Formats: sequence, structure tokens, C-alpha cells
Amino acid sequence: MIRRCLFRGSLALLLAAPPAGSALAQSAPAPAGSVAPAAAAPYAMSLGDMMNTLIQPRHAKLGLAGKAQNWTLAQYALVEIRQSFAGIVKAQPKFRGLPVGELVNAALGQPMDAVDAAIKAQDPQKFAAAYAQLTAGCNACHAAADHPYVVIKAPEVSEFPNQDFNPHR
Amino acid sequence: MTDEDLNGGADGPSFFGFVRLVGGAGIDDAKVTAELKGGALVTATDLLGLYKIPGFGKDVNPDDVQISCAKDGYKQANVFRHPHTAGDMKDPIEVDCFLQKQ
Repeated sequence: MIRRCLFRGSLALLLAAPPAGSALAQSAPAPAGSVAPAAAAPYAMSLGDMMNTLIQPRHAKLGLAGKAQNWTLAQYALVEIRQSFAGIVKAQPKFRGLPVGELVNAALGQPMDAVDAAIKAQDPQKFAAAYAQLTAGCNACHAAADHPYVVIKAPEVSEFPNQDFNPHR
Repeated sequence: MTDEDLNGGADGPSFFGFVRLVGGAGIDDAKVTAELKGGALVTATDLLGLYKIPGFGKDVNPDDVQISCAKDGYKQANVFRHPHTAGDMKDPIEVDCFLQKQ
């Protein structure tokens, strides 16, 4: 979505600024009755946008990497989730009056530590349990934020056809 | 992105917060009471230890509302009311309540 927005922004810029030296670049008078193009407004991502683009794919990648026992990739995905949440909390500290940081800590703090410990131990059973705990935390947070119908689950198959989740040494 | 949901559409103060173990995690299914002269509202915490009490009437002074929490096997340790910027009564007030094991 971000890429699409950026692309649209670039396209709008190209349309608004014709190449130098072209006939349109000269100071041709605007046709009578024409309306000046509106300036592109910056798009502010909602919390839902950020969850869909930053968190949900990384939650899936974490699960797929752990299932494949690719511990290096799993660790990377977990760090990315933590970093994404840190950015989200800065971008949107409150959601419907609720403190996003406190909700994230309450729902995911302990489960993320458990996932981290399982990755470090390279223990598939512990990872599966901790990942289930993390996923339950996601859903508890959604319920607390009055979005109980957004139900997250462990991925059954990869939705990333261009990424290999198996470990490569 | 408004506080309408938490405030329940009322004009008076609304409250939310966490019930936590002292120095620890949230406590689910704890009873939370918001008491003021003439009555009390009771709710329970969710899985995260979060509670929400929608808006009181517009004549209610938030300082007159006392939040307390309870759960079998625990006793209340203290209550922390986060600083609230005066002015907009629709801003929910965060009050955390801490329990310790008996």
C-alpha cells in the first residue's frame, strides 16, 4: 500500500511538472475555466493501515520462519515486529482514548519475550507454544480495542511466494 | 479517531485503566468499582487486565469518582490516577489499580 501511494504521488508529480523545454513547460496561459490541480495531500496511515502493512506480515513471517526452524530469520522477524510497534506507538500513541503502548505491552510484552527465549533455545515446541501465546495476545489486544472480529491465527501456508523460509547455512 | 466509543456518547467523565499485580502483569476478571455519592458502577477487567467505564453524566466531577479494584486472593495495594489535562471532559481518565496477593 505504501508503495502504491508513493507511486501515485510520483505520477501526480510527473503530470504536474512537464519536462523542461516542452511546449507545456512554457508559460502558456491556462485555458479559461480550467481548475488548477490540487496539491497532493500527505497520506496519514491509520492504526489499521499500520497493523496490516507492518505487523501482520511480520507476524506471519515469524511463524513461518519458526515452523521451518530458521532461527536466524525468526529472530530477525521478531526484532522487526518490536521495532514496528515502537514506531507505531510514536506515530499513534492513543487509539480511541486507549494508550497503544500500554496495550501492546500488556498483550504482547511477555509473549514476545517467550518467543525470543524459544528462538534462542532453538526449541520448536517452545516456539510453537510461545507463538500461540503471541497470537492470543494479538487477539486480546484487538478485543480490548473493540475490534474482536479481527482474529489473527498462525499461518497455514506462506503468502510470500518469493521468499524461502527454510534455513540456509 | 474519537473517544466516542469509550465515552459511550455521554457528556461526563469516562474512565479506563489496568488492574495489575504490583510490579507485574495485568490481572483478568478483576472487579473494578467506580464509586461516587449516591451509587457505584461495577465492571470487570478483560484478558489484558483492562477495564473501561463509559461516561458519567455531565454534572459529575471526575474528582468525586473513586476507583477501586478487587479479586479473590488479592488485596488492593494502591490506585494511581494518571495526570489528566483539564478542559475536555470527553478525554477518558486513566486510573490504574494495583493488587497484591494475600
